[in-house]
Amino acid sequence: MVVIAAVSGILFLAALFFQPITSSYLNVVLNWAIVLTAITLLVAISNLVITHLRYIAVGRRGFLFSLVFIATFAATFVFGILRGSDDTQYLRWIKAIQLPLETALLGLLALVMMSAAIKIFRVRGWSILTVSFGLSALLFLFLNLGFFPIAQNSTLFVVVTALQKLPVVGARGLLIGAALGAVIAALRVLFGQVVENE
Amino acid sequence: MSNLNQTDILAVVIIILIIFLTLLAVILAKRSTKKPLQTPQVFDGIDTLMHRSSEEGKTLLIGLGEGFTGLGTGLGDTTGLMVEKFLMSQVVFNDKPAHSYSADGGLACLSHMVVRGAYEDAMATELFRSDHNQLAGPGPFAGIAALLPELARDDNAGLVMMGSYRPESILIADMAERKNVPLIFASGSVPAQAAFFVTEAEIALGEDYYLPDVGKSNQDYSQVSSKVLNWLRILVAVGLVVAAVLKLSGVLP
Repeated sequence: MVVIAAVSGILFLAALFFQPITSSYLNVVLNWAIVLTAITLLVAISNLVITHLRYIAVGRRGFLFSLVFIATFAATFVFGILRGSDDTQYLRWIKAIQLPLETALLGLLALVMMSAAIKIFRVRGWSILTVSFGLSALLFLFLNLGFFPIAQNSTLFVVVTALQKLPVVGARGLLIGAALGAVIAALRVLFGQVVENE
Repeated sequence: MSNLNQTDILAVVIIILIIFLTLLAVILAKRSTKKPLQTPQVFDGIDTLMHRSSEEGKTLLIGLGEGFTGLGTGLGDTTGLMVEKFLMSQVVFNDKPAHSYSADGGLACLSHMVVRGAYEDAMATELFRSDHNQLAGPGPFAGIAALLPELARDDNAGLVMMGSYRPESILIADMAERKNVPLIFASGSVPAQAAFFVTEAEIALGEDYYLPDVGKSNQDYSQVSSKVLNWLRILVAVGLVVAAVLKLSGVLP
C-alpha cells in the first residue's frame, strides 16, 4: 500500500515537470483526485450528521447546537436538491444568511486582534522580539495609512521606501524557510518514510 | 519534447538537492557523536498536555486545520496527522478520549483512519467511537465555529492546533484564554503564526512546524530534517548574497 502510494506520488511529481507530454495523464489523475475529494467530503459530512443525531438522541449538553445544525443542514440540502445549486433564488438565500454571519465574525475578529495586540507585552513579556514586533506593527500601520506627505521630502521618501521594504524582506526569509520545511515534510510523506519511522 | 522553464528546473534541482542532503545527513548521523540539536519547545508542551489529560481525566482536543485537499495546501500540512498519530497512541486508555476536529473532508477521513488505527494498535477497538474524530465544518469559518463550543466545555485538558490555519483562527485562541485552556499552535502559515504570536498560546515559529518531535517519536527524522534545513538555509543565504553582489556590480542584468 505504502509502495503504491509512494510510486504514484513520485510519478505524479515527475509528470508535473514534463507537462506537454504528460498533460493527458495529469488531467486523468486530477479528475480522480477531485472525485475522491468530493467522496471524502460526503463521507465526512455523513459522519458529522450521524454524530449530531446521536448527540440529540442522548441529550448531550449543548445538544441544541446539534438541533440547529441538523435543521439548517437538512433545509440547505433539500432546497439545493430541489432547486439546483445554480438557482439564483437559492444562492440569494444562502448569501443572505452567510454574508451577515461572516461579516459579524470578521468584525469580532478585528476586536479580538486589537485587544490581543494590546496585551502582547503582558502575555509575552518585554523582550527584543516583542518590542520589535510591537514597534514594527505600529510603524508599518502608520506608514501604510498614507496620511504623511513623505513624497515632498526626497530624503524622507528614500528612508521610508527602504523601511517599507523590510516586511517584504522578512516575509520572504520566513517563506523560504517554511517552503523548504514543507518540501522536506512532503518528500518524507511521498517516500513513505512516515510509516517506516513510526 | 518537454519545455521546462527556469522555475521548473530550479524546483527539480532543489528536490534532488534535498534528497541528496537527506541521504548525506542520514549517513553522517550514524557516525556523528555530537550532541543532538534541540527540538522546538512547542512540542514539549504537547507532552505536558498529554500527561495533564491522563492525570486530570480531561479531554484533549486536537485541531487539524483546513486540511490539504483544498487549494494552496500541500503534503506538508499532513504534519498534524503525524502528531495526532503519536498523541492518540498515548491517550487511548485515558478516562476521557481525545477528540480531533478537521475543517476538510479529506483530512477528516484520513484522521478517522489514524484515530481508529491507534485504537486497533492498542487492541481496544471497542473503545473507539466515530465522534472521537469529526469534520468540524467544510471550510475555515465553519471549522472555527464548530471548535468554539467544544472548547467552551469545562472538561478540556488543552487544545493542540496543528495544520493549515488562517489568522482568523485567533478567535479560538481568545476562547482558550477565556476558558483557561492551554493552547499549542503550530502551522506552516506565516500570517497565522504572526496572529497567534500575540496570544498566550505556545507557538512554533517559522519552519519549526515541519519538525515534529513529540516524546520519543520522530527524533531521528527531526534531527536529520533539521540538519538538512540548516544546510539549505546556508546555501540559500549564500546564494542570495552572491546574487545581490553580482546585481550591484552589474554582472547580473
